[in-house]
Amino acid sequence: MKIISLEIENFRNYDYLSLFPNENINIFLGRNASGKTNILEAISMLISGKSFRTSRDREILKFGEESFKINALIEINNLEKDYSLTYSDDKKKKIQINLTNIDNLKELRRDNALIVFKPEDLEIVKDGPNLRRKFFDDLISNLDLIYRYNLSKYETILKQKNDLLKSRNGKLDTRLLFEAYNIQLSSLGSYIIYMRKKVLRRFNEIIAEVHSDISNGEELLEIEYMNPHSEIDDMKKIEIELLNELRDSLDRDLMLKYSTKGPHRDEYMIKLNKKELKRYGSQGQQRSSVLSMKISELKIIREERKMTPIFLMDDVFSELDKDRRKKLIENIRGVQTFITMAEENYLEDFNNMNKNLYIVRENGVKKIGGKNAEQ
Amino acid sequence: MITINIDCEYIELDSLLKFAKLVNSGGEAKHFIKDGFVKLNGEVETRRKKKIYKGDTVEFDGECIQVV
Repeated sequence: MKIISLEIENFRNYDYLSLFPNENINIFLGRNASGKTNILEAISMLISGKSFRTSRDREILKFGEESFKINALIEINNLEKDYSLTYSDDKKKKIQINLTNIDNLKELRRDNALIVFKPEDLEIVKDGPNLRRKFFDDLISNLDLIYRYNLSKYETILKQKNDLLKSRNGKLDTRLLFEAYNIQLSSLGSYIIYMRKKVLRRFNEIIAEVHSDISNGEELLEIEYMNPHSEIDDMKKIEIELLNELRDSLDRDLMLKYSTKGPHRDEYMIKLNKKELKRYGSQGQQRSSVLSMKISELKIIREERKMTPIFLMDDVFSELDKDRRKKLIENIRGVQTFITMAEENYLEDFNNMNKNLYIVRENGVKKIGGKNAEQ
Repeated sequence: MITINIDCEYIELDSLLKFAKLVNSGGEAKHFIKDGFVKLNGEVETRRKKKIYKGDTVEFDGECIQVV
């Protein structure tokens, strides 16, 4: 997919911004806080329905304005489609494709895919299981339409169960309610576990190759899915096992006021040369591994969805050394990419490549290089 | 007099009319421009994709738009 034209109105610091991006590489160069990340954020909202930053839609609206709008002409499978996202203070968010309202994000995701690489991603290896679960949830959501929906429902019911656990009520009729929750959780949970396992299997094949290339054949990277039911191949069997597990843990859950079992507790162990990367890897190895994960994310989407996603890279070049920058750039051939950077020196990595270069300043965005460059 | 701020080098004439909320749709903009109801810096402009730069003035429907 490619963005042919983009219009951003009343969005954060922008009144009106119009761009005709390059089909391959687009670089936005500007000082910190100049507004370059906002452009990427607008793209992510239009394509995935949500911002990759944790902000409320209301905060994104330019101060004093009533609504913001993002429009784009996007080419998908050789068809050009008009995308439009409007947010009004009173009417909330509305997304349209070719003037038809999109009522849920599942429809939006059907034709689109987006990958974001930002500095916080480098914490995936070091940080808690939360980030690792999020990485794979985002990936699987890009590959399977039902996954995000089921995950969402699972989280809603989990919250209801946890709220009830906090009330520490062990009476019989409450236990019946827990049973009802557990039945739903095991049904949705078994789908989640099954898909996490299935996707990871293919992902591991890809990342082994990618990382071998990045490490010049010296390192083997693999990721292990840590869930007690991951060895079961049949979704129905997983559901039964999970339900038993949830029933057995009810007493403990009541004591701790928290659901101790289920895929929301999943962990992924990232192993480099058979050893746990988090504990035994150097920072350089950890960064290379995250880079491999991102490149593999791109590869698996291209392969499974038979389409090319849009790639946003927000200020990551300053976090990578020359070799890793080179590897990253090698892997985005044919992918429409939007890159922000604060320093000019990384520009030389892109010499002789098909690209548009934009300078982002307080008074606006100026295109200084690329196709149809104004003199 | 309406002042419109743009953050890029130019805005196309039909987009300007829409952004300034002087028309309801691109289709309306196209017709008004084609039929000669819009002036750029004092002269009638009938090309809807005409690039309007900072400093230009556009007139339509009794309204004057200053682009900055």
